[in-house]
Amino acid sequence: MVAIMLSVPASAQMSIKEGMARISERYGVNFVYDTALPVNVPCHGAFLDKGDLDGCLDALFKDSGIAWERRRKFVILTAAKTEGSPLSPPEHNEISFQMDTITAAKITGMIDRNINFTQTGLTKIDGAAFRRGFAVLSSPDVLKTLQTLPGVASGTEMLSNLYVHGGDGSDNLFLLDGVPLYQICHLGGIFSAFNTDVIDNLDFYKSGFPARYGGRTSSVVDIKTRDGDFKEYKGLFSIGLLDGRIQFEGPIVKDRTSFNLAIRRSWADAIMYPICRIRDNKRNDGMNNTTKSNVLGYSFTDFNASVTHKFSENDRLSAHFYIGNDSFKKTDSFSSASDVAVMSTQTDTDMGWGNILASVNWQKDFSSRWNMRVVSYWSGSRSVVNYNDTYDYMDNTLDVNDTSTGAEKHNAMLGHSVLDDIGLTADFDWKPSTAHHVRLGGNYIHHSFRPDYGYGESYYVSGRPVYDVFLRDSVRANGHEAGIYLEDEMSLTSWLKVNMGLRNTVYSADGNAWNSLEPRLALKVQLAPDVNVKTSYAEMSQFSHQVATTYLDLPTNCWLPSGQLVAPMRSRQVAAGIYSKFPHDLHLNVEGWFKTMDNLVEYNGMNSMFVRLDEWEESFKVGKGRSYGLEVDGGYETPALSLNAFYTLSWNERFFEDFWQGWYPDRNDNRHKLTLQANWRINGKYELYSAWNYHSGNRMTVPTQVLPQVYTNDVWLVDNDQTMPISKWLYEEPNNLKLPDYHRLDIGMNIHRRTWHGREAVWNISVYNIYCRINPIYATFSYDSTKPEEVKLEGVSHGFIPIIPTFSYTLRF
Amino acid sequence: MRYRHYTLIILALAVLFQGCERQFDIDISATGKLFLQCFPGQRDTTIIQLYKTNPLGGKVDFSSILDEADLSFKVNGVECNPQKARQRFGSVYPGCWFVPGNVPSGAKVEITAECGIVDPVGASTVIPALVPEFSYILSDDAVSISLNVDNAANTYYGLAVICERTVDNGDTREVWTVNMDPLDDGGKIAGMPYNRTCMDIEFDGRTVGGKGKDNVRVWSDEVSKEGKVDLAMRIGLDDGKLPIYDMGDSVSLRYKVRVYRFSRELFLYAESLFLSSYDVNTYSSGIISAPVSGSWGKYGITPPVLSFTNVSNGLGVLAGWTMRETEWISLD
Repeated sequence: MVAIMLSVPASAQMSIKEGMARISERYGVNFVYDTALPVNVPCHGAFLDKGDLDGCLDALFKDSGIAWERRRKFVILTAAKTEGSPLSPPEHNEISFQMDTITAAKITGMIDRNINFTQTGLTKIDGAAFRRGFAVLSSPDVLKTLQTLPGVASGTEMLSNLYVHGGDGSDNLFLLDGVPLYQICHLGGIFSAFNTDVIDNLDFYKSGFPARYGGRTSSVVDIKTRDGDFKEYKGLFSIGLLDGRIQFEGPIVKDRTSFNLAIRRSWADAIMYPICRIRDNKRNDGMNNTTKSNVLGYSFTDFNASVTHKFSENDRLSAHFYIGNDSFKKTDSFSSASDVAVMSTQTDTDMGWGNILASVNWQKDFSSRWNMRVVSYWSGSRSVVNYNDTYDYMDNTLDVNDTSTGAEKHNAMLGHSVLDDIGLTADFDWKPSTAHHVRLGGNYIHHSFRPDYGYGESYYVSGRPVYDVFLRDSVRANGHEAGIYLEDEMSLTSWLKVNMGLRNTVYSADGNAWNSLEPRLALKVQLAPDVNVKTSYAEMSQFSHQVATTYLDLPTNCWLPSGQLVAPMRSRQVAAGIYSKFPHDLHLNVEGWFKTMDNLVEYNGMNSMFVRLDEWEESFKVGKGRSYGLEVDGGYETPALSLNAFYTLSWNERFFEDFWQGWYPDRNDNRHKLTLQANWRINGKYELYSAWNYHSGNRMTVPTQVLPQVYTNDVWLVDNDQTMPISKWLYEEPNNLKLPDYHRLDIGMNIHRRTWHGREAVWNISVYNIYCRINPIYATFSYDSTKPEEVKLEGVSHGFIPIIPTFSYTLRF
Repeated sequence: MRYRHYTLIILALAVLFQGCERQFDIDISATGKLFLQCFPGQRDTTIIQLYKTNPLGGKVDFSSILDEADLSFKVNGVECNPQKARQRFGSVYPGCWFVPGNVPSGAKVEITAECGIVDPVGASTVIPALVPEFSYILSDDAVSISLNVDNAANTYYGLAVICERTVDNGDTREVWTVNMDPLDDGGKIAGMPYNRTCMDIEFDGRTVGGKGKDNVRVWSDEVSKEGKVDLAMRIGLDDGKLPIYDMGDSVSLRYKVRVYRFSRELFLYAESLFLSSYDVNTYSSGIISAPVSGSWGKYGITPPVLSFTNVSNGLGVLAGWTMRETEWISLD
């Protein structure tokens, strides 16, 4: 049965490379091979009929002159010795990036993953892993996947970002095909802005940053998208509980030019609008004199497009375009009419935020030792908030033609924030030998910051203005960021490998200028063939600050450059670990880190959600942070079954002298974090997934002292709020309360089917938080008012995320 | 079989729709401290409030007013021997300590206190410079003042208007003095960036309060950085605070404009009270416009508002101020 379903009628016409692609997609393995191997010749027979992976590989490479060897999730291809091929076997232990065009994608040689790379804190994820993984709320998600990794705090459930090694959410560098992206979340963090259908691979750095990266202090998420297929048209269509996706790719000129398009949209608004209308009609039915309406809608959209042209196998040009947008609209209206008066109110809230990105990428291999990549781009971040509140009143008892009989009050608030980056990046790779890899390059970015807030308030009575004001607050700032780097990775001996680098960045904005010299060093000592010890040191700087009054990812947030009062942020991090592989497909990695952060900013609270822009630095306190801890990553991985456990023991602290005279825990100071994952590919039709996530509770601030209300004669000495038996709560150390621990279990299942037309269809059924743990998002405290003399506080944790079953249906064509 | 199905469905629904709130114990190790509040300045008598706080998690000791304590109050190093008030006289009330006379500008004030129950506390401050001469424009619904300042940093000004209403019906004559209420306007609109520079507090030289007790509008030191201070606000009068009068009564109004100069400690202390007392529901225009820290900070969404203190080992504040006021002004 499985063999029948898996058989592909057209396989007789396939090349070996295409067959490899089918096997890769089916069994989740990656091929590592030398591009000189004859993989473009046709393959023989229905190799997918062989039932298991080894059978398929045997059939595919039979008589092809290619030998294969399976090592966990990687299939190593070499020239078969019997053919007398002149090719020498590749050095499996040292393969880093082996480029090829299998399924128009880059194959990443990830033999033994952490064993092989010099860097500490690096996780590589290939795009197929997202497509096979758990789909929270119907779509697989980049951020949710990264949040499970050790050393990464997830923050507030569902409304979160990445908090890496004690960092804040705004200090992660997200690169989409080499272009920085600012708005990385949809719906306040529930979805990430990255469509996994077009992701080829992802590199996630938590420490040991190579010198080619700069501009953020906590982490780097380098996402590469896939080129379109150069030979045939194909795509997928997916529909889920909250969103739908379409992806389509194929050749424009066969073997020369290809395209890849993907669009994703949520349709919560399509459901919510009619529901609101029906509810309003039902509510207003029978109400003669009053009408009330509440309309609410939210949607997000993102669109990826790329075109790639190969001038030759060593020379290619690609253009990428991305636009993502969120839209939230809310309208509340009420009107009442009587013989005496007519009154109406209407409140409109309209928010939108997103990115737009366009880039051109030129890659050229001058020789087998020299290659170059040049990227020019424009990356824009947009957010808009519009708020209008109108009140009208008309007195019917007087002459209706007399305009002096009414009152009108109007409040309006608007916020626009625009950030445009125009940049040019050039990277050169030089490989003088297999043991030596030099990277050098530079970049220039012109930042244009244009946040703009305004507020208007008017009140007219009897046609005459009582007051009518409109205030505007805006900033026009330009930043110039230029960086150069040199990175040298070499094997000094058979057991010692080093990656040394230096990055220098010059930044200027509004008459202020800074120079940042950032040393980077990573060292790998191979103790045994399967055991490495690594250490690294990295300094990073960040010159742009996310100006936000809350910890949420909201459109009221904006970005502004460092200034006289707020200097660029700086992080210094040392990391070390041991990475080992054991027999029977087991591995264990243990890594520790210590990191300091300077010039962190924290909102000082003296404002609304809109920060005063012209002197925003005065709205923030400047402090520092430190984070240290230990990560353990252990697991068992075979093509059919993978079991992984990620554990983190960490401390994350802050020092803001204006808040507290000492170090205090950060709000994401999760002492313990544990993730257990299992992925079982039962056969070619079914795969199961489950993950249990646990971390110590987040922290928040509660009062520690109470000052009883004191009333003497007619004087309230401390507070005159007479409704409270307790007069004054006093706060001391910030983040002094640890919320209850967080944990949840997710399960999911993929069911692969064949349609009548031979197309592949996948049903994904997932359940988020299967045992319905209501994890606390925040807590309030209370006391028993019937016993005012006793103020033993009880916390009430509030959570909103129950069990969420979801599904999606994906059809590949 | 049918019952089993129903049972399973009910159990599933019970799991699905279980409450979204859970009780848990807050375990915070805290010990009681001394709370000190004192605002030396131009008031004729300096009042010192000293209480013992109650750490959360235990029972409230309502006898927090200390019967006895070793209290030292020094002005420029000279001990002033504060006295414990046993009964009310004037603005001095039982339970507090007092020092007769005002404290001049520029004077250094030091307080130490010990009660034997909790750790001793200490604090010191310097009384701000005198408020310079200022010009003013006053109407029945607005006031503006202008003055030149010498030192920009850490100078905080406050503005208040006092109204005196005299009602004379021939037989009796009633005189009432109240504070005019600062009103929202372009200089202070709830929830907008422009309200960062000022806040409304109650201040009478003895206590300071937050929401609901507005009579002094206080600006941050941003307004004094250019060497010249121009402050303005709309004012209103709550008639409920004043005596009722009949049509035939003779009514007269006159005003005083007061300009305060606060120390940084007093500003930060008032600011922390001001922010922590704000509630998201205060404003009808919704969450967008509400000041966030006083409300959302309680839910961990924004940085918390902490109780400012400059009292070592304790809580509260020792902070000075000065004030200059006009003579009574009639608007006729």
